[in-house]
Amino acid sequence: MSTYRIKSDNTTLGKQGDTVAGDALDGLNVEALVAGGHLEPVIHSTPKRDKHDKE
Amino acid sequence: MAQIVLTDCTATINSVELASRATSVTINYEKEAVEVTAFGDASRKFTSGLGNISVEVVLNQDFAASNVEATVFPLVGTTTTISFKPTSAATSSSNPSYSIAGAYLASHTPISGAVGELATTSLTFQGGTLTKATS
Repeated sequence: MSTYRIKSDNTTLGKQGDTVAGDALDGLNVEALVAGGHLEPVIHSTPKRDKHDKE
Repeated sequence: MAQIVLTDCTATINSVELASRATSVTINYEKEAVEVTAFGDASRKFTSGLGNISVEVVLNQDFAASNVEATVFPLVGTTTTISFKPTSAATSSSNPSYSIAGAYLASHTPISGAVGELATTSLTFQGGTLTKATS
């Protein structure tokens, strides 16, 4: 599930800095919100595989 | 029910509150009249056909970050949800909320105005499904 951070102070989605789940954005144009500087995708880092996993 | 002078409408476009830049809102809600008149009828009769919704919004143009132009320009040619209320007070039977899901932004005028005039943009949304909420 995608998660987005709110970057602007004029959306009804929450406060600046809050995160919002993608499923809460149904019916909205997420691409336009990102392009307009209202949201940014939160990149989840995947844990590095341990050395033993590679062997 | 009191009459109302519009001074405090809310205007939310793609979840962005733009009332502080909006100067005019018109929601047109209609159902096509499909004629069902037949022989034997003394006058024309109609039944409800397809719904047809259009919304016109005039905004004072603002090119600042996350404001009018940044919000509206990426929406042209796409659909989104827009909503409006007569006042910013809580939604109620005397302050209903009108929300249109799937509204298609057909036009936007990024630069519009003559010398000495305030820059404005006129938006026209078409289609979608209108929901009126009173609570």
